[in-house]
Amino acid sequence: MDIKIFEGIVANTGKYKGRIKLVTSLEDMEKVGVKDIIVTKDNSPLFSMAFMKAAAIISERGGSLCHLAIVSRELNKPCILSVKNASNIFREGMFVEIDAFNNKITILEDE
Amino acid sequence: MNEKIKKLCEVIGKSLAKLHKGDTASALWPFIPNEAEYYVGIFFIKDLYETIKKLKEKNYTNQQIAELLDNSSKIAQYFTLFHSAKILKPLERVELAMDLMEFLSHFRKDIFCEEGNNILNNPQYNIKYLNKNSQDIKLSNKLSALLLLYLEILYPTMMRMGHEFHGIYKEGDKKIFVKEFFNLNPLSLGIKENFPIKKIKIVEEVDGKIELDFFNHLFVSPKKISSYVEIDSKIVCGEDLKKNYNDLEEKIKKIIYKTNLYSRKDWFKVYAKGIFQSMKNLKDELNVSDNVPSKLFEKIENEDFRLLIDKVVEFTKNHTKEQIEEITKNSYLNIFHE
Repeated sequence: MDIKIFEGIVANTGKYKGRIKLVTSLEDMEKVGVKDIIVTKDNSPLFSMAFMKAAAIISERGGSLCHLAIVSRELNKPCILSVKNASNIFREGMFVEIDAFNNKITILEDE
Repeated sequence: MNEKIKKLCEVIGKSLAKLHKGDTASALWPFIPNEAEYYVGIFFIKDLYETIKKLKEKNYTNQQIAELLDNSSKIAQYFTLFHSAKILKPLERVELAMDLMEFLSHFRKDIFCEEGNNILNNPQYNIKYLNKNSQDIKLSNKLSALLLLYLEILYPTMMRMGHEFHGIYKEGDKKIFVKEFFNLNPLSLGIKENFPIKKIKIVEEVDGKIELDFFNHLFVSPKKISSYVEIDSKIVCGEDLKKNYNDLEEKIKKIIYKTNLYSRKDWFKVYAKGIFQSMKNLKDELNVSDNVPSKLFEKIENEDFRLLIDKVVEFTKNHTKEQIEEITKNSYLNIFHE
């Protein structure tokens, strides 16, 4: 598999490897576990419980000063925002590394 | 032009430019503030002006009115709707801006927060309660994050109706930062559910600097060394804190699920209810209702106003921070020029 690396805007630093959970509705929040990396299309606070639970956060929107960035810093979770097309690139169950020290998201296993 | 008004416009320009360059616009939910202002702005600003005027006619002092408004970050946030002050006569616009700044000075040492701190005249905390228990610090961070997300739902794009961050206060070699959360009842959502808590205060000993702006946006978060949590004037720690956090999370989760089917128009109504509620104490003194005017709801129902977010983002990308600052400052100055 070719190694694919993506970038965005780092909201909070940190490094973590885990499986992707896509969150697009309130119902999706229930499936998020503490070891998951969540990917959202927007930063709706209605997904609060997913943000609170997941180990790391990737979103298509936002930057270093948006509300989700502040929240990720409070929670001290790796968080990269404004990742173009993230909700299409990352699929449910993919194993990825989010390296928010170096603004890199690497797909390690494409299931 | 009045020097204080000029300064106000400069400070607002600086703050909003920084926020835009932080790519905040693309992440704003469920609409951007300009869209909300289209529906709510003129109704609210006119009502705010008239309510303050009536209280003054009843001989309320500025200090009394400020106290009824409760906190400073809420007052500062009113200025985000100030383009709608064009509904008022030019002298009335100046009068309202000067009044709001006067109210701010009742709470803040520097109303503009120019040094990146928000130092209150009468901060309430006690450093003897600070503890270094790592579990408690972690829980207080989670609590703060949860409440910020919750407030974004209660007061979309106007979260400062429900929180204020202040400090840094120096206590010997300690630096103290305080986060206060209030107005937590989900009244703006139209949900009749009693929220069990009125006020939550998180007091932190921090290492490093913070950066807060005029509107109370927190741009830089410092590292925490110790903290304590106060829930409705009671210090809560250890297992008690854990239980309080879990109960609160469950309660907020229930409230969120009740909003599952809210439309974009419903969220504009939530915004309107939230901001009109912020005048409740003033209205109570006048024995008048703090309900949202029915014409405002009609406007939300009957008119469709959208700003294309991609255009806003493109504008931000194509302009430097200095250019955005200048454009914003001038747009605010124009309010007072006519």
